[in-house]
Amino acid sequence: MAAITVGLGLVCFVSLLMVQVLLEVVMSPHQIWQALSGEDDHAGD
Amino acid sequence: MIMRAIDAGILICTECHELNKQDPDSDEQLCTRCGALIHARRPNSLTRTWALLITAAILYIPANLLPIMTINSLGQGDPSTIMAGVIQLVQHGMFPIAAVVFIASILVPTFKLVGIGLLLFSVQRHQPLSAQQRIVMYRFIEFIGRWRSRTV
Repeated sequence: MAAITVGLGLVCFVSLLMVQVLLEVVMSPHQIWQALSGEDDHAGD
Repeated sequence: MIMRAIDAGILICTECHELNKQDPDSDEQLCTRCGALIHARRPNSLTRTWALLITAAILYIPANLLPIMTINSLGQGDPSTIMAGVIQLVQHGMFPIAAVVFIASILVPTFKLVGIGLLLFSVQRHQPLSAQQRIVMYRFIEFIGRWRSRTV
């Protein structure tokens, strides 16, 4: 029988994926593109 | 000149996507349809994005350096990292699977961190990019996003 032990790396990796998903939810692409295009000087505030 | 919703005094509800007329006298305006709090811009969006980006960058290091799991079979077994797993797959001749694991688990998170970091840095420094640069960066981030589901 093989025994599998989960390492701390897997916990960090899953956390990393979850943070990246949350990052895309929180980030406002519309606001970022407006700021990048120079249409709205205050979009980056 | 591009006409924007914010200039026309129109706010969109992020919950139900109803267009609401902005009330200049109100600090906290609620959506007329669903009652959710609406804002001209997401409050502290960039600050939160920076905080999550830094968190992701910190997690990225142990995720790649610490062992993912240890498989003990007949009393033998070594802790294995993501990269060690990719190397093992290559040694067993499973190149396509090794490539998918490498791209989805190592390259995609790296490119995503760097890409979003560059965008945020550019926004923070008020450095407008040219249309060509913007479209290249936009397509790059969109392309990377498609690979996220492959990680599973």
